[in-house]
Amino acid sequence: MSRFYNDTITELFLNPSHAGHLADANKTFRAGTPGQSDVLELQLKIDHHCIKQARFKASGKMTTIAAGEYLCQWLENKMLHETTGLNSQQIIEALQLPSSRNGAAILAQQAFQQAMK
Amino acid sequence: MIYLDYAATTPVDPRVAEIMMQCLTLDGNFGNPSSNTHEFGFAAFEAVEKARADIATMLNSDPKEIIFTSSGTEADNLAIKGLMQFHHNNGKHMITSKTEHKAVLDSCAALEKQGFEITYLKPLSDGLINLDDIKAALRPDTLLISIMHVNNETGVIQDIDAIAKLAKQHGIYCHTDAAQSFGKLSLDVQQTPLDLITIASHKIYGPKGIGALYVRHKPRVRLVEQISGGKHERGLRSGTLPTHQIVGFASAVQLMQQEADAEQTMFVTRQQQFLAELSSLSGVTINGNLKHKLPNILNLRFDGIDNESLIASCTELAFSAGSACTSATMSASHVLQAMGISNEHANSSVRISFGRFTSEQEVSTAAKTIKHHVQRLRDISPLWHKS
Repeated sequence: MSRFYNDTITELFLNPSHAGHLADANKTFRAGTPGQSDVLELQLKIDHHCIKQARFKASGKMTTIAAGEYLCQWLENKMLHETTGLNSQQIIEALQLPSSRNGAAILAQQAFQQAMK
Repeated sequence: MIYLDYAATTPVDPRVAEIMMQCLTLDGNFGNPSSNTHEFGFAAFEAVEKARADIATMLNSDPKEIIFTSSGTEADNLAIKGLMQFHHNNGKHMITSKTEHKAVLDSCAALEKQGFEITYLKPLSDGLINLDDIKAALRPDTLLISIMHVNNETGVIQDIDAIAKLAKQHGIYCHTDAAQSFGKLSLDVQQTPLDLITIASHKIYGPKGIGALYVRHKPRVRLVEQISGGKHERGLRSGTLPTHQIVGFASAVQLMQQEADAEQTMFVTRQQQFLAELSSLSGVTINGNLKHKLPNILNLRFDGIDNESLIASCTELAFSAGSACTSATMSASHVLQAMGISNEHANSSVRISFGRFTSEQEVSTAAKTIKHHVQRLRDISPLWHKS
């Protein structure tokens, strides 16, 4: 099934270095509905307007796990004002998601936007 | 890479490939079996007829009752469309199940567009079709019952003998798609009054591109041909017969006759070993009736796991999802859905199928790999600890 996806997605999925729980997170949000869709939980540790650490947990398709990993990699060590332009299109392009899997990018964007509220 | 998708297809047995090679080149038996003016044609004809007889032996049928097709799918089409169309003046109703192969279901859908009416039976939660449900679905205008012998996703074995006898009792034709069971389970047309049986070569270590339909002669079962041409195969299926495919099919059948019993015993052992190695993992469920299924097919549900992610994680294993994932909705296996399994659980299910070349070591490696990745994916999940 990996052949349906590119090397970027496959690598992010197989070796996610940001998967896990952040004990001292000050922002947490979960996007998606269990039983109906994939679920992506994002945790951020923000200090002086800087995202010091980002972690995710995901349940579902490999593209959702890959999107969670990409999101965390991209967010870490960014100032908050640098993240305001993040949208699902950016994730779609970065991962070169097939259109049938754009939902993974939308889920990641939702998790981030809600976490930042 | 460890191959665990034998229910999808099997590799050609090297002994079969060797025989097929003898029917391809100028120095071999390459002629057209329909060429009746020279020795090349005669030799090919003899090879095809010997193969037909060898295949018939497996069903205890007359060789004339074996009609070669390009695949099991084509045989299903010929059986179902061919029978219903031939007898359209005598009825318009057919009974099948929701867990059939798409070759049957899509043939039924095509018939519905032609005005036929189909009853799709829902199986019990273990995948078995209740005989009483078939009885309840019978109508005065029912022409055909088509129920598969062994399900390709779960391995569940239907009581095809009882179904065929019920059909005969009511004067209704009976077809079974035996693509998964042929050569593995005994099917004797002298004992079981089936009228039509679909068989395929590539599930038993023969080549792809060749299947056959058993068509009972006494009493004669009449069909409308679905492919027109030179009136090959007694006018039921036109097209030049592929000698190499047919002798390969027959060779695979002969090997099954010699080795199937030992293989079935081996599969029972492999299945036990596989399940034992997974036993320490929680949230694992077997889909389908464990007592009434082929031992080489295991449909397993891993709670909290998406089957696509599990399959993609196990990069050194080749197995399949029990479901076909689509885009926006998580469209699950129609077989598992028909058994009453939720979309979520169907999308957590995978099919592992062992074969002739699956070793004990491979089963052990596969079980350990799957176990590792199920745990890895559950560790990543924000939901698992609450399951």
